Amino acid sequence: MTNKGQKVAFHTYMNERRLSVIVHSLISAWMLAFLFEGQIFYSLANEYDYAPNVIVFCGLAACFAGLLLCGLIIKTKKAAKQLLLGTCLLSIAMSAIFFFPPSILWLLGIVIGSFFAGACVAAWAFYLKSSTPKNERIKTVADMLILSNILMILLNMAAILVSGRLGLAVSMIMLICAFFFALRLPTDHEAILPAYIGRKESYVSITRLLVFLCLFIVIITINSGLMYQVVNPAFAHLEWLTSWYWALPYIMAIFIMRNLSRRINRTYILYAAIAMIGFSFIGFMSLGRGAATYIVVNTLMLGACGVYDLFWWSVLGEMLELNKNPAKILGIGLSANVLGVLLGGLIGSAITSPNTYNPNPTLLAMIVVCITLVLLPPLHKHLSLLLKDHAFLSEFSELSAKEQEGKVDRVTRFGNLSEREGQVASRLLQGKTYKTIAGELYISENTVKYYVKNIYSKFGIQSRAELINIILKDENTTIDK
Amino acid sequence: MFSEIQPIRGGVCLKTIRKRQLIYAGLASLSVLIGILLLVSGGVWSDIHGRILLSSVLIVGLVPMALMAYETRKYRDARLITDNPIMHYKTAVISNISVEAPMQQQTKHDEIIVSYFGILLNDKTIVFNQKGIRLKAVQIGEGFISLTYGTPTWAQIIRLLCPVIDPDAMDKISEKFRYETGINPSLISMGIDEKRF
Repeated sequence: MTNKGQKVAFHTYMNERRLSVIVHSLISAWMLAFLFEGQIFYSLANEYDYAPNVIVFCGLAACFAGLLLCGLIIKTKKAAKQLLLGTCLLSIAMSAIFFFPPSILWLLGIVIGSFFAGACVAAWAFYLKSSTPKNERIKTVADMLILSNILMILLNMAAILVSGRLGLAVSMIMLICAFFFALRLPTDHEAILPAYIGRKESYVSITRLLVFLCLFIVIITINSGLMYQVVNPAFAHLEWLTSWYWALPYIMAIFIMRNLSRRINRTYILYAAIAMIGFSFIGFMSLGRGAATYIVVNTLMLGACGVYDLFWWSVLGEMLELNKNPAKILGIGLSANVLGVLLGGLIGSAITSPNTYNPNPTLLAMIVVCITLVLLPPLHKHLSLLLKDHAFLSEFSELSAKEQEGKVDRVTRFGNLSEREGQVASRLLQGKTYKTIAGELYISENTVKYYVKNIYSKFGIQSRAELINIILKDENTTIDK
Repeated sequence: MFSEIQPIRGGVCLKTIRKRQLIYAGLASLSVLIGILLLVSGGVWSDIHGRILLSSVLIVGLVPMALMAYETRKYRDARLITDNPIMHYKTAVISNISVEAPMQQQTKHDEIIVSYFGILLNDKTIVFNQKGIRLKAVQIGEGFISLTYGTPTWAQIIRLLCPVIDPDAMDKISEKFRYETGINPSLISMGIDEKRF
């Protein structure tokens, strides 16, 4: 490729990345400030003395459905762009309903808007995948989260300090801007980086990895949902402060994480975030209800949420590589996030409800948070192992059949494996499940498990990832020699 | 005589272990049931005899539970052996010789299955290639098969006396051993010459 060609490709790549971040941030800001228990919505509901509980629950459920179903409906980048454009127009129309007094149309507006907004967020995966290399996606996601939260703060301030209608009008302007930016988004492969051309999709199963990631996301976001129900109402009197400070620690945490060197071990930061959530609840229980307490509690809690959110977003971003339809992966991952918020909200409502007798709602909330925090480290450890396993498997699966065979032969000789163990090891390294291996070798699944145990014990290892690591190390040693 | 080398389903050995496992399970369930009945009927906590009775039932119930756990484990090992047979024959005499203390022990058995994962002698299991125990060597002679297994710190030899194996069956068995375990059996002919397969 000539220098000129490279320059054009670089600019196209930059434009697509920037454009997609701007479009998604504008839509997300509207969603955060209005659709999902946002300040604009609450401000409008207060104006009419409207009880928002049912509508909020229906909205979250519709968003959950939209996220899950998007991957089944949207299968190309062109369809993703059409969905983005259509959602912008539909959302503008739905938002206009809220200039009028409450009616059934409010419920319809929130449900339809949430469904398409959810689908729209999942569809962004096509642009995230094509515009950013795998290892850079954490930065693109961070940019999107930072920008959408800054815009959300502006909308919240407009709604709280001036009026809900002004906030709604500004959010609609943002949607119009999103529509015009979305028109410029590319739909063909011309914007795809040369490195992506000819790259084969990994066929390694990601179900287990996705299940664990979803579990991880649900547990983290239960805390956020719970906190929203328990902590926020306690500081309702600090309206001015909460309007702008609410998301600031979150933005700062994401900014710091975005710019961290890749060499820094992020596991310690995740554990620090667990401690931050714990301390924030202790602070909430032991300190007063003044501005200083709010700053301490909110900084610790939202800072931790920022760390965790960016962590799972980055894992999801990397996982987009593993499926032909990235909207499916992102949709499933984000639906776990919505589910967590929903569950956290329900637990929070149950704890703080005046109809139920709870001697100390804060203590109960603290117990729930502690349980989730205890679950997080082992879950994170297992998730990291699976990710490592998957990364090694993907690397191995990208080798040619001949290279794979050669490596397996070397390992078989090195580990003094029998012919049968070699057959099992070879299939294991290809990422096949025990069931598939059993079917191919005409043995029971239980037998495969024992063969695998034996293979691992011959190498003194515990997992498939370690086995692949041995192969790759063996290769490096050979090259060094 | 030797049967075809393929998974053996529902053999006599497995049935025996299964039957014993069910008996222990029944006894354990019975003791749990009696315990629950004693608790439900009340008066157990206030009456010293009731408390003693409940404790005794629970303690007695632990024995079949432990035996059931043992039989379950044995059944799992036996199942693994019958699923992956290398040799299967009906009658043999066993000589068990320890490497450290060469004391000879002879037992009669009706059904023997030799597998990559161990040996099933009626309802008795000897496991190797699992739990850190490895099969180290195999010798096949006229009328016997000898297997050496153990850990790096100890070793055990088991000699299975069996009907004379014809050359074709011998080839198949040797190949199966090599394929499954990676061990080339030493073929001993009338104790005069020895060749490695």
